[in-house]
Amino acid sequence: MARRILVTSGKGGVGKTTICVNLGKALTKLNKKVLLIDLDFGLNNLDVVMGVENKIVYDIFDIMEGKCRVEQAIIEDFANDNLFILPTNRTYCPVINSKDISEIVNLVDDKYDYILIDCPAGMDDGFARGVNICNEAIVVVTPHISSVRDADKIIVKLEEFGVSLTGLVINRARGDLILQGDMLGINTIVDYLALPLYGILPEDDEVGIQILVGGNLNKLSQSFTAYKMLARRIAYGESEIFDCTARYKGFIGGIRQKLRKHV
Amino acid sequence: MKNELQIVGERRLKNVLTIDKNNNPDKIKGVILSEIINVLNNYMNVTKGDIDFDVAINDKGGYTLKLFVDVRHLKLANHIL
Ligand SMILES: Nc1ncnc2c1ncn2[C@@H]1O[C@H](COP(=O)(O)OP(=O)(O)OP(=O)(O)O)[C@@H](O)[C@H]1O
Ligand SMILES: [Mg+2]
Repeated sequence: MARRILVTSGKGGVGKTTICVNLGKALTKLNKKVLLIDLDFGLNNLDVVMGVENKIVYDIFDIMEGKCRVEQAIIEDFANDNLFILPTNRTYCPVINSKDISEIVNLVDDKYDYILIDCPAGMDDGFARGVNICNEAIVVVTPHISSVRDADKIIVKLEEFGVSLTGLVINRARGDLILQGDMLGINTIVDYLALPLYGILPEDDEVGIQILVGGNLNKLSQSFTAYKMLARRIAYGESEIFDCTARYKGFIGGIRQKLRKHV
Repeated sequence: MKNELQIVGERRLKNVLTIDKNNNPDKIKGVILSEIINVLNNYMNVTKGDIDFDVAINDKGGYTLKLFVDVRHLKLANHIL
């Protein structure tokens, strides 16, 4: 049976879709077979971030409408063996409930090690559809007050829905600002949200470049390393977490920090 | 090292979390208290008046539950088993 993990957040635009794709890719490097499912109906972007938007023939609604089998709708990634996506591709979406989705996911559950669910921000229908088919969740936050506040509410909801294992990922952390004291500290966020910290992902231009071309992260980038650690943490429970402040420490780091501030 | 901005930010974060949690505490308090009384009555005879119960927001933006119960006797073991 696959581990089914809901990637969720209170606030929109904090990086859920990006994290689904890159965590999925990092897990395949650990020889895990991963399926990504887009439950952000109508505002789907998982296909674009993965760079497979031109490969979509059928989507999750076609399965529901009996136009195809599940296997026909699932697309394999170009660049990564063992990474698959079940897309959604409609502007106007028919009504769909958790039971329908659950039946589809059950059909393929035993073929994957991980199923990562990209769900819309907030606590509306999309969240409910996702949370009903998952027993694990990742709550994504950025180091901003509004994002942490909304995450606090989502965590309560996850508990209400009986999600048994939830971890926190802090995205877009800027080591230079944290060191200067110009951004909420990591410990503050973890203390307030009281969830195990799964990972820290740095603010990184590389992420934007990756989405532009629809490929993989540069192996020399900070993000690549951070995602590798995140995947190992989730798959093996390893404790190493990316330190976004490291490159701004020491003599060279100090210069880098000053430069970043003035550019 | 924390500077003025970070301290202000943390204070504001704590503030919003506290406001959110303070929105509905009385309702929650009532529900929890009645459940606690049910559980305690398996072991002692207590009514609402014997219990000092409070749900307060703590400085981490979470809840602290305070419960004081004055009771003369515990039920004997054979009543429980
Ligand atoms: N670590 C990062 N560094 C720089 N940019 C990032 C990072 N993470 C995400 N982004 C950018 O932030 C934007 C929003 O990301 P994404 O679409 O993944 O968020 P989302 O939570 O899925 O949004 P929505 O709630 O709308 O579904 C994208 O343009 C993405 O490139
Ligand atoms: Mg998204």
